[in-house]
Formats: sequence, structure tokens, C-alpha cells
Amino acid sequence: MDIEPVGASLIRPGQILTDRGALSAASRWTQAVSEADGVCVIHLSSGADVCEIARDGRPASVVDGQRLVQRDGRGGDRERPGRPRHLPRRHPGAPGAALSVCRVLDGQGVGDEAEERLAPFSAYGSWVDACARGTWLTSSFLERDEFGGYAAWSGTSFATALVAGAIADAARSGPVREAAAQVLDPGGGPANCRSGSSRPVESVEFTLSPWLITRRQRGLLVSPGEGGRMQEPRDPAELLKAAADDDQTAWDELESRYGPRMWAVARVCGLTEADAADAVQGAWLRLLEHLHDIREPSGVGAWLATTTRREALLILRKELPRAPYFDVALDSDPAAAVLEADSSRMLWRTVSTLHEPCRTLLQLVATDLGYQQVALRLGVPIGSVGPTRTRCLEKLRTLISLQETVQ
Amino acid sequence: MINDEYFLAALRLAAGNDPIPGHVSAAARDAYGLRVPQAVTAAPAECAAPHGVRGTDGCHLVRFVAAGLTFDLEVTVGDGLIDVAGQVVPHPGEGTHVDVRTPHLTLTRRLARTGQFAATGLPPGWLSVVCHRPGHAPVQTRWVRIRP
Repeated sequence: MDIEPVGASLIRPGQILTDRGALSAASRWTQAVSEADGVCVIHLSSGADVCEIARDGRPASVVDGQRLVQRDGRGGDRERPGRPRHLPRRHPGAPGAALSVCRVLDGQGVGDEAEERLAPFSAYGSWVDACARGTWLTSSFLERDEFGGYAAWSGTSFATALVAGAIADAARSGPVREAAAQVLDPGGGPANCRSGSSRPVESVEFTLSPWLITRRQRGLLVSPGEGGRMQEPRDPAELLKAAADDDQTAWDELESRYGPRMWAVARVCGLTEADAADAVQGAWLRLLEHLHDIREPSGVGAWLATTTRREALLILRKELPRAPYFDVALDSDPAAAVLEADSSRMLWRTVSTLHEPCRTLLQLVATDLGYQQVALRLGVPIGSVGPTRTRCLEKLRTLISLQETVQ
Repeated sequence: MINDEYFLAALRLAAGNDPIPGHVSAAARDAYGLRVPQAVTAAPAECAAPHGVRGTDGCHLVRFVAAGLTFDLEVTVGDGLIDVAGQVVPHPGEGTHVDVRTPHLTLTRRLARTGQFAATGLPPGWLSVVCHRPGHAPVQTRWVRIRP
């Protein structure tokens, strides 16, 4: 692939991408970086494997005073470049030498507003050093299919190329660290990557139009002193929207938030582990089908639980065609609501208000102890455990219903 | 009774018992890779044989309809693997291909002139077929669960 020089700077494409834009192994990245003699800015695009490198601390051995490694802070992709997978992490061993370019501005539209708006696929991660336009840029691309070595595309990979080009261009007249500092405006731009006092990028091969780069120390959602952790969990509606907009991290967060409950729903329907796994997977696939048309995005957790229950019951009916069919799919059973709402704490608080033996008994049955064990620990005859359990659950149900009425 | 079971499940969930297995979480996360942006989803429809029936030979017939296309899938389960013989009508035109997908394996097939295609040796579980037509949004069938 031939790439035109930018002024006195040269761009050396690294041939380490696979033909689908997927990532090569971390070791190949490391090799590419160490072989890049005389290169002052190294732009590592597609971040998943780079994140691996960063975790291993390997860049420290290849970043010296003369060079700067800049990486695309977003994750890699199995299907096309630029799809987000991971939140960025700054490499701990090379402060100042490794940059994270993660926030991507939406260049569509005109005027300041378009410049300030984040692209829908932009990360909200911590440790973002720079932002740049990342939508519909013409850039060098693979020599395959209809792409004759160039493509107009959107993605963080395209935004990072802008930053790399700008730094390389500035580095013609001085050490690269100074060039980076100059381009990245160490005075710090306004918090949301507005243009502020930053400098326009000019004469960079990748740009269609001049664009602005600002330094960002931390993402919007991270407060100083928090060590880069997300300050506020994203609300369900926001997660759903982000997942619909190509953000794998949002999908993963939905999974970690609702997966355990979906599992419990499938199991309570009486499914084996294998069938419960099918029911949970089925519910996620349904969500994929409905990413854009969930009626109440803020209730996506309940939607997932209900869908899991429906899939579980369908599996049950298929496996045991003669089994009695519980029509619980759409009722408003308070017990089902307890399981499907985010109310574990409320549930245990309620249990703790019960008198003995109910309090202890429910704690014991929740840990899956057999009746014999429960009887032993409570010091009651084994024959009384079943009836007591029923009575205690009845009390619990009454209390929960009362609480729901009050709410 | 189901109420009590729900309460117990909620208590177990809150107590951290019966946690979701790691592979179930991982599969859910990987499912995101199965997203087909802008795809139209074809819903199950009635077909000549009642849809979703399991024939005596372990054969399922399912029909999906959307965007003017009808997908007829005949799914056979044997030897622990599933075979899919399908037809898209009317023929969506030159350059069309279908992806026969499971969460773990996707097989790509060109359509025959008759609109027919076949894919064999897929792992049992969730299955969906996506039809890619040049110049049109892709059409995907809803996911169906196929188990022996």
C-alpha cells in the first residue's frame, strides 16, 4: 500500500491487520513496535490486543524518550474496524508516553454544535487524552473488495490516526514529547472536548477538513481522585441505547447486571443447568432482535427476566409435553415481581423483620440445606419444617405485598 | 406452589447461591457479536405443516416471513448435530447469500437458482438464518431453539 508523505513526515503502515480488520496477536503488536526503528509516533489501532500489551506492561520496554506510542483506546472488532469493546486503560508504566484516544466527535452537521457532539460510538472511558473527529473520514484502508486502498468510514481508529498525524507533523521541529504536549494543549481543554484553546490540525493526510484536538485527562463520568473508576453506573435505558449504538461495553454491563437474575428465573422454573443456559441465551438473543424497540428502556431488566421466564416455560413444555402448564408468563404475581425487580436488599430486609423461627428458617432454606439439616439447626422435628416453611413464606409474601402497596 | 418457588429463588439469588455459571455469562456477552445492524427480523408464520412441529423423524419445519421474503426451514437433528435445508422465496436476486448461524458457528451459503440452500453439521441450540441481498437491508429469522 502506498501512502503519500505528509510534509517531511513519513507514514509507515504496519501490515499486521488481518484481512477482516480483526486483531493479530499481542506478540505481533509488540514485535511491530520494537521493529519500528526511527519512527517517532506509533499509532496502534484496534485496542483489544493493545490493552493486553498494556496490562502486561510490555510497552515500557519499547517506549523511549524519542518515541511515543499512541493507541486507539477502544477495543477491537471481529467484523469491522472501530467497533467498541473495551473501556480504555492508560498504561501505568509509561505515563506521558502512551496516549489514549477514545472520545470521538461526531463531525456530521455544521458549526460548533457538531464539533462538540460525541459520536454515538464514542467511549466514555477514563483516561482519555485526546479527542478528534471520527466520523466519515477518508483514510487509507485495505486493498480488497470495493476498497481500492481507501475508505470513508467512521470509528475510533480513524480519529486516532488524526491525532497521530498531527503529532508527527508537529514533531518535525522538535522532540516528539514536546510535539505531543504542543498538539495536546497541556493547559487542558474544557471537560467535554470542546475546541477551547486547542490548535487545529492541518496538513494531515487523513483529514478531509481541519479538525480540533484537545487534551483530556479524564472522561466525563470520572471524577478526579476516583482512580479512574466510573462514578455513576449508567442507567438501564442509557445502557440499552448504547448497546443499540454498537457499544459492547454497554451490553456487557447489562449482562453483569441482569444475568444472575435471569439465571435464577430459569432455574426456578425447574430447568436443568443445560436448559437454563438455553433459556438465558434465548432471552439475550431476543434482546438483540429488539434492541431498538423495547417499549420501556428503563425496564429492560424486568423485560429480560420476563423473557427468560417465557423461554424457560417454552423449553419446559417441549421437554415435558404432559406436565401441567403454569401460566405465569404475564401475571403480576408479587413473588415473580420480587425476583424480577431489583429488590434483593428489600427482600432480605423484610426477612430480617420476621420473628423466629421464620428468619432463621428462610435463611437456611435459601442456602439449599435439606429439611433434615434445617430441622437439626432449628431444633424442631423434621416433619414440622415443611409446614413452617410454607407459613413463613406466606408471612413474607404478605409483608412484601404491603410494602408494594405502600410504594 | 410456584409462588413459594419464586420466593425461594429470590432468596437464593439474594443469598448468592446457585450463581450463574461463567460459561453462561460468556455466551451472553458473545451473543452481541451476532447482532446484524439494520436487519429486518422475520417472524414465525403458519406454513403448510403446523410450524415448529417435530416430525416422527426428528424433523422440524419452520416458516418465517418478512420484507416480502418467506423462509422455509427444514431442520433435522441427527447424531447430535443439526442439518438445515431451506428455501427463500421469491428468489432475492443475484449476489444474495445466507448465513446459517448458531452462537458458535456460522455457515455462509450462496442461494441456488431455486432459492434453496443447505447447511449441515451445526451444533444444536439456537439457530437463525440471515439473508444478505445487495442493495437491501439484511433479513434475519427470529432465533429458534433446536435440540434433539
